[in-house]
Amino acid sequence: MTEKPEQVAKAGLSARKGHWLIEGLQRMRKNRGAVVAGCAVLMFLFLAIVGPMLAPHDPVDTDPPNRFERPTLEHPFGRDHLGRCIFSRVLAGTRVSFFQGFIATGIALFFGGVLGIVAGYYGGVLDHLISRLVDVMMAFPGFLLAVTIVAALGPGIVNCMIAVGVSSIPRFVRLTRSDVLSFREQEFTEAARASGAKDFRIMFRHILPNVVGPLGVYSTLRLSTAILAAAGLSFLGLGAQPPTPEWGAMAAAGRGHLIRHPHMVLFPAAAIFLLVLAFNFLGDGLRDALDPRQSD
Amino acid sequence: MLMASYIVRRLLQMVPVLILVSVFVFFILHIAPGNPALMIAGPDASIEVIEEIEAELGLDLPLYEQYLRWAGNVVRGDLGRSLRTRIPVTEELLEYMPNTLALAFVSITISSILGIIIGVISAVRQNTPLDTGIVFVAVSGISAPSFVRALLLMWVFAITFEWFPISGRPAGPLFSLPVLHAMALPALALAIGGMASLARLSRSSFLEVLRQDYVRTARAKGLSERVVQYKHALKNAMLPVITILGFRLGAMFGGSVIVETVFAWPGVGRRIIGAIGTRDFPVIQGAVLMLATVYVLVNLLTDISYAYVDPRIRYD
Repeated sequence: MTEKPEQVAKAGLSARKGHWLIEGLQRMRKNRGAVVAGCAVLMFLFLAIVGPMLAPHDPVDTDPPNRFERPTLEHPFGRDHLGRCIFSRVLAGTRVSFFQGFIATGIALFFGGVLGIVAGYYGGVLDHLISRLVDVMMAFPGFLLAVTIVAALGPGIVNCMIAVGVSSIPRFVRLTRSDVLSFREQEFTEAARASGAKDFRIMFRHILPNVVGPLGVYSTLRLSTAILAAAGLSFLGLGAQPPTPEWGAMAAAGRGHLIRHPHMVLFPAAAIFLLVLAFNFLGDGLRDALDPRQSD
Repeated sequence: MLMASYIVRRLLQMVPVLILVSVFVFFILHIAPGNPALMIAGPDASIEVIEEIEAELGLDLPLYEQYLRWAGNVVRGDLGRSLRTRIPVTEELLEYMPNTLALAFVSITISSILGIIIGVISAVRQNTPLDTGIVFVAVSGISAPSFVRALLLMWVFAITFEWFPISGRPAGPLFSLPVLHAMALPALALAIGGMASLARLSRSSFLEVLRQDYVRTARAKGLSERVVQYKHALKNAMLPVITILGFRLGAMFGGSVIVETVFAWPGVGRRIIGAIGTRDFPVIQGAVLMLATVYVLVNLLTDISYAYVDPRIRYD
């Protein structure tokens, strides 16, 4: 009985953490599809970091006389309507997509997490207010909320990331809130309170570490949704503006030339498809591994 | 009696959500930069003219009064006029809405029928190559963004094979043959996402049900596997599928913005994008509000139908 309550809380926590995450990842190792998908995601991440350096040409360098060139050895994906190297643009676009995904998910994680902790911890009026706000945001059909927010803020890559991030907040609030509810009544919270910790400290030092794991996993899964939404907005001309090499915007530029020059659409479309596919298989593997009850 | 009180309770719960949705739509589009009066008057207008238009639109009133005025009109079915075309927004939307609803209806029909069939086949043949293949295709379907699906379908079936028109909507009543023909590709592009997730859900739900005691009982009675699967298990396996139909429709309204734009389908989603381009805020407000209202209503219907097929829900 000599241990301080905080230490007890931490010990319980670390035992718990090692328990589900590491064991889950070990289980996932047996799932070959998920491992391949994980490697593919890492490869995309690697391309996002070094891609622009590997690009054989400047992604915004135009060469109008050679526009619409079919794939060649020098330009493996061909050239677009301004004669730019599509291969280099797709490579550079990896970074743009990840960047958009990370920022948008980060916004959702931060605000959703804080609102969820506050709602779950305090309950009462505050919880009621936050939950109603979430209900209202959930009343907008998926992508439409992001479109509405961009409509208000105006098109552009920054506003697009804000819109995608804000429109994902409700799900993060719900997840965090329900997790916090289950921790609020547990002994370590009681112990921290008994030792005189203030609400703020209990929320962010004692409860937060417990919800960080599930939130992290969920954020990883939501990353692909955010990347899809940002690409969709860019496709509509509401996100990244020319000449930024963005996959959605590239597909939109190729749309008008689909009849004669389908390669302009094909390569950026394939890139985003493969990235999201890898994320989804990884996500399935993670879910099965972390929650074996759900797997078939 | 119980069912009726459940429906009334759910209808009453809907009212505050819709009011808050309207507040949200109104205020978020009010933070947008740009003066609507200036847009109507044009760049050369004098300050007097602009002020006159501002007064006419009520832009000189405090914000909450502007909202109350707007909301009062909305309740009476008046969503204001387009800043560009000066046509009443309600009139415009009544023209576009049926196209969007028809598209969503056809898509959700395709995706539920095919999705459930595929999911059940996959579950019955669990862990066979057929099942693995279906799961793989389903995940691929979810992974392709709607603009990729739309462009791919257009490229293959409209451009290469020329089986369907590339874009647009021929004149004529909805659900007439030429219109359905033009609707086929956009509907399919929208349906694939829903089909894939419905297939996955039906598969896991069906497998879950097959593990239940009453299925074991049915088997123990000596019923054939066919009867067990299709008479006992299937009905119960479809319960969770109903719950996501409403959600799927929402996803379709979201996706229709992109698919309608790609196929130049004259629906509300495409109108919103056009209106964003011209900063025509009354149109955006009205269209978003209308789609959100339909979505909330559909979710309500989903819940009611769920309570109808699963009586346990009503007692909560």
